[in-house]
Amino acid sequence: MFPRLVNLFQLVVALAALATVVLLFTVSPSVAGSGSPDVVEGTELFQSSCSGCHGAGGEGGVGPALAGGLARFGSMGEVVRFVSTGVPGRMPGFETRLGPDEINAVVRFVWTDLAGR
Amino acid sequence: MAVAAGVYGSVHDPAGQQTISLFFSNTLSFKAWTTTLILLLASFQLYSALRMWGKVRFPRVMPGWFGDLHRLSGTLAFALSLPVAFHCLWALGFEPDFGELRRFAHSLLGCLFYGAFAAKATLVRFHDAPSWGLPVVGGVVFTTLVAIWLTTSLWFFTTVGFPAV
Repeated sequence: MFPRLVNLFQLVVALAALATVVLLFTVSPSVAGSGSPDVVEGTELFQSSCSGCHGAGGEGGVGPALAGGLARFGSMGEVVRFVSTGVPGRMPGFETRLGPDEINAVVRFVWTDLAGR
Repeated sequence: MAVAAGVYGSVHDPAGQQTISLFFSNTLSFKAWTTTLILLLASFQLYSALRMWGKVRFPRVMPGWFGDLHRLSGTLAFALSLPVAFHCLWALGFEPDFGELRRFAHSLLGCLFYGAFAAKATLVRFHDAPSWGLPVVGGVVFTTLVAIWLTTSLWFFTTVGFPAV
């Protein structure tokens, strides 16, 4: 009985691995808030687009910490340009994923609420 | 398998988004703890393999289901690695910059892990394979996993916080 259960489990996991490969090629990044003004919220955009690398509270993770940071930037405009273009190999550019208003919203959130600038 | 993972991670435009987090506060915490659990399962894999090959003597009498438990733990470890690898490949991608040594090493190790795992899963079905093949490949899988844990989970716990759930 036990060997059969393990065999069945292995089959399920093999299918899950196959599904994972399919998802790698089919899932597109979500563009949170596009076309819907009421969800063009910096917090939501941050959670959907930034927190994967910078942490849910901007505490850092794969990417650097944002909370209490951003000392290298002199203005929000610099951050907007940085977020828009990204850095090859380090951070994706978001100008193809988010609209200008959305980038402004998420940068405003990071600049004021997280970094406290 | 290793090359395919590396190529995908290099050419895919990283999404930079969170994916699964289950009951953790974010995906990175989920990944750090899941990788830790995978390492524990892999440690049991190593121990049970040593017992089956007669290199350790505990338990003195090996239960009939011991081999199946070995398979179950390995399969479970692989299953748990899938959402972790998905986020690594889909959201973060392959780090090509040698200057980012930790991320560069982790990218290489992640690819190597799946290559070695595929080799082990294949080799285990070939009963006429050389006797040293399975221990060597299994050792590579375990060693790679330890290095992966050191470059991610340990880094996460010491840099971001602990337990950081």
